[in-house]
Amino acid sequence: MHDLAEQIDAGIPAPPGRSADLDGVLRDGRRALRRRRLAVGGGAALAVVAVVGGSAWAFGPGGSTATAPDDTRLAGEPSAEPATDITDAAAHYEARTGELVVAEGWEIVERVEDPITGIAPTDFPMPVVDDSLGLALTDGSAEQWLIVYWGARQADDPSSGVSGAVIEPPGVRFDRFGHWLDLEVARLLSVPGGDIWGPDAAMYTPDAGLVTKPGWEVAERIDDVAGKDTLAVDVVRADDPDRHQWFLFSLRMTISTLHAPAPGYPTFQSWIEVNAPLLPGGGGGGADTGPSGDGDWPGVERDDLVAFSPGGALEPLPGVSLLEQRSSPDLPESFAGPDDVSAVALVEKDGERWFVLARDLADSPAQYIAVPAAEGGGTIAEFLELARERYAEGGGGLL
Amino acid sequence: MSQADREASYVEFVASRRDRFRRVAYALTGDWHRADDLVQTALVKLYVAWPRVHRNGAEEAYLRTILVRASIDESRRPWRRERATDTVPEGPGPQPTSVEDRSALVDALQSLPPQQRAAVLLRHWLDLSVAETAKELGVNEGTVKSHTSRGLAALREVLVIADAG
Repeated sequence: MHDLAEQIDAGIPAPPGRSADLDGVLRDGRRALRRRRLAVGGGAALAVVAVVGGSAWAFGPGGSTATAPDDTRLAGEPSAEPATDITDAAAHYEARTGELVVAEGWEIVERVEDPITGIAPTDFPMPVVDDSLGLALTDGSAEQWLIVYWGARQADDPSSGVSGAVIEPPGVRFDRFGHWLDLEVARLLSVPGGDIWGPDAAMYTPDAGLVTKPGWEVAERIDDVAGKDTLAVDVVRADDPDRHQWFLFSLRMTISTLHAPAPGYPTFQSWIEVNAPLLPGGGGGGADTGPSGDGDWPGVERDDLVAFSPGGALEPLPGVSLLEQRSSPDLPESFAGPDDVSAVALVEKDGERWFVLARDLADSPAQYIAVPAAEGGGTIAEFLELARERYAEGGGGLL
Repeated sequence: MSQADREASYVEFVASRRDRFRRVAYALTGDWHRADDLVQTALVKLYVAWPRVHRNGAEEAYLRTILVRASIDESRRPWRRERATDTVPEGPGPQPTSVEDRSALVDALQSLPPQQRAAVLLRHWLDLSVAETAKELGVNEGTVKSHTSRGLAALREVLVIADAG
């Protein structure tokens, strides 16, 4: 394959022009770092307290265990069992080395790198978070979602490390790991007046609904503008009535113009009329209807393996052994939305093992997609990894 | 690590590697503007994480991972954006790349699904192992093998067609 590498190398041209000034990169880097390191006093403490509504916090400094910080909960918030020891977490950073340690019997099923690396909320036990991971883990029966983090108390002395974790029990506040992590991180990074949102002044998720950046207000909102669960929003900066941004949201797509009015669109309504049909379900197709280019779909619909019970669990049909199942697996919304019933199972029939991905959508009969275990990976976690790729790429998922 | 030390080591690394990573980003995106945006984003992330990444000697892998994952995420995320910027880019930027100017290989790469494209480039250009490629893409090794074999098959086919034409 050596000549293949040479061929590829020869086919990738040298960059045209010269690189942008390094000073610009440094300026952006310093700005990003400052943003993450903002010492925000009372405001941050309040934000952190708000965040722990359904989460437990645990810190482990220097390899020993410390008392957890204030786990005050807001009235009316769902509660979770507070962690009193970092060993309650299914994974943590070893404080002295910064190495990730996963508790025996637990397996990482989802991993997001560096969700809060670089930040320094005042409630955290280190000056700056040097390393962090978002993790979803399972021990086969229970699940746990975590943000684990590690930092050195003295920047030049890694052995002064201290580690911590934010623990969320799945299903209490959020059905999906990704939703919880996005919102948790957004809130941890949220500083009034700060620019941590990036350029967007609004975001929309099924769990949090419409959220506007601090200092911005909703000027106009049109629900169901292009079908169910779509939304058009005009937001305006509170201190500058001429600064508008326009958004079209659906669960799977966002269209925005960050300096409204956009060229060629004198009014919000005229912009909506042209762009709303582009949303999935909006009549124009959207971006997720194209083929992925990979035509090998291993799934087949089977109605003889499992069926949903009235409670939403999968039950084996006659002659089938149900070996393992999980409800509401974390899959892209092209497979099932947050309010849809879904599940994944490993079953055995006639000596053959199958993974079954099942969904019961509001407007169609339940569907059971079976993939031979040999083609779907050795474990449910591996099969879900395959399913995530397929449904993220569009083009029909597993079928 | 003081800010001066941090920036000195960071600048030294970036100055020596940036054009290499611009090429990687171009191979992933097929567009110099998108490639430079991708590199800029990755370099800012690298700056934030620099003390840890530098201490671990993982600078190249970190930057490459960000580029690869960001390019795949970008292709998956159905965002369509009309974006105006507040700042004028400094210095002469890269020239637009017309489709005609792109090499047959770059065109062929762009015809692949993003994960196949990344898998082929990581395995057969950047010389990562199957395990390293799997880690980089966040998929299992079987998926890497599948992506690379399909990607190479499509690549060869397209190149042959291009040559014949």
